Amino acid sequence: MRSDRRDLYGKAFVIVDIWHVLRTVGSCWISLSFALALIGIALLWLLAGDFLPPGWPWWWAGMSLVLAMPFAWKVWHAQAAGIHIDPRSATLSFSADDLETSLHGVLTFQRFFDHARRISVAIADIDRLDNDNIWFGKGASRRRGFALNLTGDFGSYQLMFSHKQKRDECRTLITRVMLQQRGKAPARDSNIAFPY
Amino acid sequence: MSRKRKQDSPWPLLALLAGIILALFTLLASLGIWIGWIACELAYARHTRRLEPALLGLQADELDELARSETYMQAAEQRLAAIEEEGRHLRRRRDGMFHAGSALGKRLNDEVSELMHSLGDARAEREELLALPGERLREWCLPLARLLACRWAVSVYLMGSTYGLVVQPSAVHTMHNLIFNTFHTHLPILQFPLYGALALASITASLAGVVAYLFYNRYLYARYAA
Repeated sequence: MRSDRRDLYGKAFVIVDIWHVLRTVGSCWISLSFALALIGIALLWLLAGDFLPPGWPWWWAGMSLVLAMPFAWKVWHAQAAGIHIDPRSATLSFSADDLETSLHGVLTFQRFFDHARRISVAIADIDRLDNDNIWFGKGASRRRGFALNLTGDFGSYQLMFSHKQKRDECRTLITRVMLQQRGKAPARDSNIAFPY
Repeated sequence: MSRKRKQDSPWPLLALLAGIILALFTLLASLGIWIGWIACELAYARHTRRLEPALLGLQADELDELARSETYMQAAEQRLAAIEEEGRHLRRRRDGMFHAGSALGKRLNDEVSELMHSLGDARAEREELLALPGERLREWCLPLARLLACRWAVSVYLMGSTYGLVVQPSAVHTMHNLIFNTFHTHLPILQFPLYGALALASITASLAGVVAYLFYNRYLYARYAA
């Protein structure tokens, strides 16, 4: 890179974990389709089971896949933009895999619908970065997920990655921008997560 | 003995279980919908909050604070631009800072670090202030969304029970028989499938209430936040 293209703010970074994006979009689409199919079949059977043609549950199951598509599209938009680190506005924007913070959140499926939402936090507000490994599934489909927990004035957010490589990349870039913005940052070694 | 057990059909037990679950759900959902609706109406009538323009914007002291932050950010950014110009002839590091081999480079780097630090704080403060109207709007949306969802649930309950009694689809008769057979010692015999119709109304109204709440909660926020 030519030195005259460098500025005091540093570069903007985008980290895209495409396998995580595809998995999230796919699971959101299938989950919503399944829920719509189940609720729709139950409702239609209760209200008009006598008047519907044979094979209508299959037709409705297909319709559910189509009806869930707009939400899947929104999830794609939120996830495919990746994790964006903008040193000029000193913000970090992402779509988080977050735990619910209230009973209201649990009852309104906040965690599920948040997959279609992007969040922006000020880099100056981040106090800690912690690595976490999470196991998903059972048996042959058991796999490990790599998480990066951000903690600060905003509460906490969890960023998920399919591979350690992507989490390390994200952690290193956030740390670099934090170091520049604040003069201090959590440990740069992505295998440890001490507070600073 | 074991042969006799194998010949026992599990259906009566399943029907009993289904009857109990259905009757319990119908009772709790009916109570929840009607009592919830009355409670929401009373609570909203007592604490009605109009959507004042002040709710969608910042208060005077918050506006002052925002103006202070923005003025500071502007000044800091102007100073950073001046530093950029001042150190134009200096070599740059990979992170965009100046090479600290010269006194000027070192001095400018120190000043940049200090400015970046306070600029970061000012930006964080600005973000927090700008998020306040959204938080207030969310607090305003919740009771209204709850009230509208309850009204939808009550309307669907009335429509569902009427539909069940007038059209009498086979599902209503099935549910009526399940409930009646389970609690026949406690329930009066009826000529029309009232228990089934109430079960149908409870199921459809609960779903309508949940869907309406999820919809209004997002719709109201998105409409007024824009």
